[in-house]
Amino acid sequence: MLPGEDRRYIRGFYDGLLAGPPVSTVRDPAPELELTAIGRFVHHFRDSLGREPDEDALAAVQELFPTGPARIEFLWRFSSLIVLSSSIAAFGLLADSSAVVIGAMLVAPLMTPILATAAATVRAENRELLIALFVVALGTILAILVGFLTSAIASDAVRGTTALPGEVEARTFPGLLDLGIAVSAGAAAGYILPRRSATSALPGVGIAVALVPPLVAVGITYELGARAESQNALLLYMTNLAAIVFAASVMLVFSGFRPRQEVSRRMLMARVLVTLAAVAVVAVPLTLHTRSTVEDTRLRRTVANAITEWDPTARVIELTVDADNGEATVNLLVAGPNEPREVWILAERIHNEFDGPIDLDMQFQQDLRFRVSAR
Amino acid sequence: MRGLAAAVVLIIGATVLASCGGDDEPATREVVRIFGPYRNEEASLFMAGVTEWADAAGIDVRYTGSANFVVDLEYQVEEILSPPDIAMVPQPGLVQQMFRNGHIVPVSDNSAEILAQNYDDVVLDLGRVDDTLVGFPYRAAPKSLVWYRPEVLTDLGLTPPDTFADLESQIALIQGQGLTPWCLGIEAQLATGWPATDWVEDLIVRQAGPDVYNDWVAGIVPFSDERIASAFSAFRALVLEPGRVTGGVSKVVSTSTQMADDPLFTDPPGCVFYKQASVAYSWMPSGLELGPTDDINFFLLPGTEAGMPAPIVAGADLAVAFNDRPEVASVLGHLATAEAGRTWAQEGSYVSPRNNVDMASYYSPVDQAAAEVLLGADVLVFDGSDAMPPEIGTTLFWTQITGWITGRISYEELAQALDEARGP
Repeated sequence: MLPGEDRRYIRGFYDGLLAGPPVSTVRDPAPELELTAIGRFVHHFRDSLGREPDEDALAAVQELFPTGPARIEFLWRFSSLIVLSSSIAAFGLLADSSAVVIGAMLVAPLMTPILATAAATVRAENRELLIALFVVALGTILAILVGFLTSAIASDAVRGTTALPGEVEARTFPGLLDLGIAVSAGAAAGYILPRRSATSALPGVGIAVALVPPLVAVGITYELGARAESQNALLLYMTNLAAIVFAASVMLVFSGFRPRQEVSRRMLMARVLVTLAAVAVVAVPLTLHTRSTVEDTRLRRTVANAITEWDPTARVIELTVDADNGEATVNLLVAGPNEPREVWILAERIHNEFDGPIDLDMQFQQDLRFRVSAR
Repeated sequence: MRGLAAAVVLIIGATVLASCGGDDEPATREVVRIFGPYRNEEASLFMAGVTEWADAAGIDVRYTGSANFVVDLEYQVEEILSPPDIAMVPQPGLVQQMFRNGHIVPVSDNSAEILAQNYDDVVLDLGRVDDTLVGFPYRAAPKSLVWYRPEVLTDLGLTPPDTFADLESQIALIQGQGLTPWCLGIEAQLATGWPATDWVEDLIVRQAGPDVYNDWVAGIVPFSDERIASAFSAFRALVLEPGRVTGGVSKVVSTSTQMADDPLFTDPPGCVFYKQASVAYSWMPSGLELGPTDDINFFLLPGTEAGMPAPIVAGADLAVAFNDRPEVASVLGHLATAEAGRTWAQEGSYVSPRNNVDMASYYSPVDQAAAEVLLGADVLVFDGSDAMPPEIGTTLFWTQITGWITGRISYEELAQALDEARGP
């Protein structure tokens, strides 16, 4: 282990930002050097980067990689917990109970192999990385399978109804906010991991960025025949997975974790960039998804305003909108005391506000009042 | 704190992912409002033939289409006196009434010149009221087509029938094989009933000939005439008898016209034949190839006499103007050109009534076949219910025939109501 060489690599990366000539060592910066504000920030940063993780941190990360007989035991324990937490989540999702779903998140063990993936990435331990990815894949498949089977057995209450349970549906609309949550939670996980004193905070990460419930939702929706929803739930899981690995990897690098061999260190940046690329890949459908949600919301507001202007006495009972590529489909159920006449004016109003083609299908229920007397 | 800065950077990065762009301010342009019966995909195809030209001409064309087109147009024109600038009207009877009531502006000399370059004079007769040119056909459609899936007919060992007697025996044979011969759906909101009037019109012109048909449309031959009554009876016998139409008569009146073809495409087929105008292609599943051995095909509803050409009932949408501003005349002039229908013709369900289109390059295969049917017609009559005065053809006739199909009223009651409304 040659700490000086390690720093040389990092120094080369940051030196261009310094106002003065390159410093000779990281731990002992030349006191006479004049630094700009950015330079001082980078300097402080570089100082923390160079610091080796302490024994306790190394041991905490090492625990992610059981070896020998412990590995088999770990796999059994992991599989059992995945099946159990997925069952809790599946029943909780079908029963539409957020408390039960949160309980399942606390039991779920998926965070361990995902953090192991991040740690193996930054430490360039390819064998460990493959094992960690295998465990993640195992957990993923088991959770989807449990969701599918539970739905096949216990989804009578929701089968055939037009709406999915709210807890399931909540997992079928991933957006950029979910990516933000996952990046933040992944960073928190990477920060907490080497600090045993803070490990009590780890369950909070599990709740913030749920892994098992989206997977179970994939199985349930697939079994119920809702393929698009199933794909969306899978996208949510992939988002969480990619963002956690990326953010946790970055945090581990900043906590001083490095590849053990010099040759692998040069590849560190490339490795972290691969995880970033995974985040970018999920960000594309998420961005599209978010845009369409924003469009739908805008259209919904436009329709509601247009109806108020069109007939202030009309009440919207049901409104479904779909804005796709700037084209809008609006289905409306409206009630009111007046006879609806100028529906084309309503369509023109929405069209002008929304600024795109619209297809409107409106059902109008006229309020009828009967007053009779008998003597 | 070690790592804190990194966390901040990450979270800011995550937050920055959401962003949005701005829009350009549109310039103020003259607005021309068009009202018509085209909705959804048809509305987009109509506008596809207008937008590019309108942008170049600096005119803001806005189109609105309604399923309750006739009632909505009458309301705008006659009740609130706030008509659109242009309307695309499939009912010449309605055009006549609105012109005589002083609402429709006659075609300008300039537009008439463009029309003369694009249309045969006999076709323009459709837009003449009392010798004045008040509109012109923008789109035409042969209505006497029977759609079928070649694969289904082949499996039954049948070929398209040549005569009406052939058709009747095929219907019996199809029923004998445990299949339902016809698809039919006449629900169309306030226009419910129109596909049934098309059916009856086809049978009247076949059984009684074009002269009696035209006299019936003109009100000279009453509904109570034996020849008209006999066509209604033939319609009931051929299509409405139990087992001959998908779902029975109660389903006929509750099935949306644009969804009526759905059973044609199920497996096993929910019906074998579906009589509907060429425009029905746009209601069918997308991407169907037309041809005698392809996904879908049509034959002409055969004539009653062997060896005689089958008469064709056709419809057309007339473009008329309610305002005489120069930009309105300008849009009308564009609608008269073949360019206005090109995109639609290439996508399917548009037959041009103009005389100057190149069949092969202008049309999709479906529309080329439909256009050939119209051009090759020996006997061509206009859709009777659309040509009658609107208070008869597009309201009473539709509701009466719907009541007659369900059995709520007898044929005598239908004939009496319609003949009384038409007057002596």
